[in-house]
Amino acid sequence: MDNPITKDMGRAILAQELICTRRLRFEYQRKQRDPVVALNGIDLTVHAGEFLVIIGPNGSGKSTLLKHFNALLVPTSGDILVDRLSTAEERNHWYIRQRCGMVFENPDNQIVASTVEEDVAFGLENLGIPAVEIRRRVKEALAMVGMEKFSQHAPHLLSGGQKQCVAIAGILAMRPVCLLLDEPTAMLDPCGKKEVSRIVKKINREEKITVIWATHFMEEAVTADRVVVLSEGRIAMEGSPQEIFANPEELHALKLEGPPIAELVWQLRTEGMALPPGILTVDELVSVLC
Amino acid sequence: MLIEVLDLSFVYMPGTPFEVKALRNVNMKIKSGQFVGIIGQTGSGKSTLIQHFNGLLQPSEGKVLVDGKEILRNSLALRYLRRRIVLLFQYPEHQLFEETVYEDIALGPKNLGLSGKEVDKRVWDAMRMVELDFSKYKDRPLFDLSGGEMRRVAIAGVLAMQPEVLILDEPAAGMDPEGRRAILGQIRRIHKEKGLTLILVSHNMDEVSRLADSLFVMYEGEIVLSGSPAVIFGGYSRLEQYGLTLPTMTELMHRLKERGCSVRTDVFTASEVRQELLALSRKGDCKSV
Repeated sequence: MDNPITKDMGRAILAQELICTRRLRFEYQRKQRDPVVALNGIDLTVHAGEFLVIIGPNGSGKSTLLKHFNALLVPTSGDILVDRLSTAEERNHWYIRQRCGMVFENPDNQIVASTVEEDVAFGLENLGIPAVEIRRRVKEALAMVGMEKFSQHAPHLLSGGQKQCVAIAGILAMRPVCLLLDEPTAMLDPCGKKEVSRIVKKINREEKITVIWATHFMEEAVTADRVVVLSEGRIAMEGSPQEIFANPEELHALKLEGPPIAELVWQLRTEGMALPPGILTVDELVSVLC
Repeated sequence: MLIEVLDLSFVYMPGTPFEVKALRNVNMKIKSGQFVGIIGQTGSGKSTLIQHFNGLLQPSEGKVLVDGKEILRNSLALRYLRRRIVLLFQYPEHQLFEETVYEDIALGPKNLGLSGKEVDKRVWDAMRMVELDFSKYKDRPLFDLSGGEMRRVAIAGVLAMQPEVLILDEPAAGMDPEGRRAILGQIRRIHKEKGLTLILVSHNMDEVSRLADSLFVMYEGEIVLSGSPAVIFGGYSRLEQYGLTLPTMTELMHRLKERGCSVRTDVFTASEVRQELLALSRKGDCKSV
């Protein structure tokens, strides 16, 4: 890590713009009625290697935006470039979807095969990759999510958190540059939530894969590089977790609330307790208090 | 209404290679008017258990008694029982099928053969409980509603049956913070105002610890712990072994105590913790003053 060359390279990767949107607008068309405006002028740049969390109330446009990042949806107007390619060109879609893979909320809707190994190999088989290479990549992807031991297991007998890890491995086997996660922990129990968060953070750090994570759980935003808050199809706030969660009142006005510890610290500060700003987790508060 | 579970065991697909023992010797008692929380990791048997409370599943061994009477297969009493003990599944908005809000909520009461006036009254009252304005929402088409509004219509639909026991499986799953807060506030009010028994299945320890007065912890088909939230979350080393976590505020207090601060560990809400910490800082018992 101390090698100046690798250090600089790391910085060079971070400076790269992976996804860039300009005045992105999207309308859902409805029969015989006015269209619904889901996204209304989004200007956002996502840098390669970044861990970006998107929060916002139900219906604010999180899922719609995420679906633009791998060309599942294309803008009604405005532009989006993914890895310098426009999603407006249909011939780019195939490439873009290999570069940016999506994991959805419900793990049961994403599993297609009868063993973990086959499930992770599914995408690669469709690309016509040689069997030897597939085997290598499946093994590598399962190792990244800590599921090597389960390669022969039946996916439907795994826990929810393990199923999500298998879904993530299926994307990783495609060697993407970016992982899109749409409320990946919404249906998981507390341990499953923690496990998926830990694995995704590790992948971001060690494999330098860009992560864009949409969630309703503010605890999952506290370690992000950057947080984007959506409200009614627009970017309402943008900044580091410390900046975003510094003032819960602003969040409350957007029908959101901060992580429990951030809310507590804010109340204690207003009651005159001398706590430094920027405390978001139990660990941070404990080390300040004792 | 008293629900008693005696030595209940349940096996899925018995006698096949896929046989799974989902419940093992479960014993529990739920008294009338209680607010009970059932917690446990995925696959611990929560959903299997609650489906026994109104006879959707029948025990492989043991029995379930309601007011002292055993729930039996195919009995007439079972039909009557399901009006009194109502179970709302996860994501209940997927089960709405009428055209308008009113029609969907009225479906149950109409099937009970009630008069139009009585149905009207029940729909109005159910909508009031979930904070949907009657005149504004009654004629709205269901497909026009947001997910959160549809969830509330689904809850109103079961309230209109005027059950004595309401079983909710993750009623706030997938909702934003404000939506969660609203739904849980409504559930608390329903319990208080209607005096019905509430059984809540949840993965959210912060919420369940604040709502329920009694908790059952399930692990691999067994009830491994039971008691008040204060009792359950007091002994936290055991909880991790069952795949659960502490409510955030309780975790904070445990961690402070480990570091030698004299704080209570049986607190769950931010306001209780705030009082504790302010008292602590007044005593000068922590670094920050």
